Amino acid sequence: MSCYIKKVSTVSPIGDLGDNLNLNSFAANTFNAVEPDYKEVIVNANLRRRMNRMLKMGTYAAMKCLADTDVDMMLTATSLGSISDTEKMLDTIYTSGETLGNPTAFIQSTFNTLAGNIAQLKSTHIPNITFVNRGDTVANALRYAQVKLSGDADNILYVSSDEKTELSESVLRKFNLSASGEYGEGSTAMILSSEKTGALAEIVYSKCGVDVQTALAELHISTAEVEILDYKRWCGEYATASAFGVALAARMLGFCMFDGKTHVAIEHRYGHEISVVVLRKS
Amino acid sequence: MKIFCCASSIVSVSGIGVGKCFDDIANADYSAKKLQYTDTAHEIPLREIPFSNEEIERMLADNYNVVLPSRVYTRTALLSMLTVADLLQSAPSLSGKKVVVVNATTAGGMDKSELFYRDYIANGDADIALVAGHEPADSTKHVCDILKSMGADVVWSSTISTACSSSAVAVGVGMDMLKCGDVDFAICMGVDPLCKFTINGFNSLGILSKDVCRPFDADRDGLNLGEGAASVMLTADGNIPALCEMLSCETASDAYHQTATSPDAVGPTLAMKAALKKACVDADKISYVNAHGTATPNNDESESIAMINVFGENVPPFSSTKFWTGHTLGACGVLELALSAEMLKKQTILPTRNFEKVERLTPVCKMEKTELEYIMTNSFGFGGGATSIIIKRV
Repeated sequence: MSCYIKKVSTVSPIGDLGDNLNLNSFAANTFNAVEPDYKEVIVNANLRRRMNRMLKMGTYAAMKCLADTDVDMMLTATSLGSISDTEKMLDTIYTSGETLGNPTAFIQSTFNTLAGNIAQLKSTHIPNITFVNRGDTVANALRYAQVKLSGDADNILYVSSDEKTELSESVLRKFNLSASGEYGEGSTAMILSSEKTGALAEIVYSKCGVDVQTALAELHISTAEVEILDYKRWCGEYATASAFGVALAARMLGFCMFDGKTHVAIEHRYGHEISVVVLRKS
Repeated sequence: MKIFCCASSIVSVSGIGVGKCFDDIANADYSAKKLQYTDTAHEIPLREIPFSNEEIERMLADNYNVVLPSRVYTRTALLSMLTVADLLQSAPSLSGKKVVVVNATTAGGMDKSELFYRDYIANGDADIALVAGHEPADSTKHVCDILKSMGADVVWSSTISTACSSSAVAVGVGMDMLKCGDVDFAICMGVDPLCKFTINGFNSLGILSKDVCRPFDADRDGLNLGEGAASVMLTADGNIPALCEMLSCETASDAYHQTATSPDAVGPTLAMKAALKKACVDADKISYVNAHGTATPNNDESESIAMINVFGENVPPFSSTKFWTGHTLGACGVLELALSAEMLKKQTILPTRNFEKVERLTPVCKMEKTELEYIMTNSFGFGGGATSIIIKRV
């Protein structure tokens, strides 16, 4: 099942990987996403004002990828969705004793709002599916992309986005989800294609419930051929962080930055969940 | 590859069982009941599933041999386990079988998370156990645990959330994963509880009716929310007795507005036409359409326009069962698929009730025994997602 990565764009602590591979630019210690000038792709000021950060980050990355590309379907992915708007809505409910509502916050807290936004901005009627499966979300969506690219679609937009708030970070800390204790956020978009020409990398494996060693054994690849990428040192820990890892790996493979190694493995441990995505140079 | 639905389950205001829900819709008029389990200040008709969380845990242990470790469970997780436990009673054995699970929900574990938030803003602190099940993934995980305990090899599982079309989309994803080969069964399901977040959210949009809802009626004024949990088991094994054949499940985007459907119903029209094309079925072969029919002014108007766009002057008999079940959000796609399969089996169209005045189209208002071969069931959601499923009698 061929699944090639043609293009990537991210909103991350090291900026947009699609523009620059600034691995040395990382100086922050909070793993907050460095937010771009959203005016570039979200032209309508009212829309920009209404959107929360999760939506802006996801919309930005998606629109960058779609700038000169048509796709047949859209896969969006998130873990907490627009958690800031969820909190706003809950705040309104409890402080008003259910006498007030917050329609914008409610609508934007819906998990597939990002998909709806992008569809409206691009005026596209293509099917879109939103995956919301905590640490397994990214691997799920990429596996599904492999399936759809083997007959039903030629090009797919993948976009994931997760934001953090003070409350959400404190909750994740209490659940001890990060081995490093560093919690991040960000969005990643990729154009996935059944066609190899001009591709950065190929996704050859995307599975949940396995670690890297098991994945490599299933692929019959020795560890000597594989770079196990430490991507969380740049993006921090969050449920959809592995998408950043995949985008980073694809760009680095494109620049032949892995010393002769043919494959890159992105392992994602999140709480009790574990998943592995393996890329190969195209 | 042909795909069949070989088992189904509904947990709804009627209790547990597809048959119970079917019979209630066929025979009864809904009248608002006093809320037993839902804490809200709003006095509106809500369809509660008639069990407390404690009762569900007891039923799981006593009736289905599912004994849960002691911890906080969201209502969403409990309902999802209940529908799957019920599903397995009429399903083939999953022991040693390769199974895919595709769950769907809009609220996730919000019934408990909102209690965390209530305490947090009151006291600056709250019991973290209340948010352990917050994410949609939580109920999926519990379902997979049950299946694994029965010897199933769960090869892939995921959770979909596309607002009101969520579980219909989950059906399409399940069908795609089955077509990969090397998968024996796909369990596709949806679940949503009643909670303050959803009730107040819909209320803030001004689309809740204060009365029992009236799908397609010219004087309709909004929807009624309902709790629901529903599941279906799909397989490519034609030797297993089937409820129906799954011909297609197609999705399109309306790309118009975050909540309202476009005046020309572009998304719903595209989804329905795509489903017909994929199923290789002409529009005039559709015996009956199970409508999304939420009873909001916007949905039923655009859905009527979509049906006219697709069927022209010959719109098939159609109805909305949401007058009884309420709008079960993440569950409605699979819930109404299960009802549609039951209609095929019984060769009977379920009615819409509370319809008095025609606006554009007239739904079926009385139970109707008639020859049914192809049924289309539609689900349209916030964010503009429209999904259409076509099933065939076996």
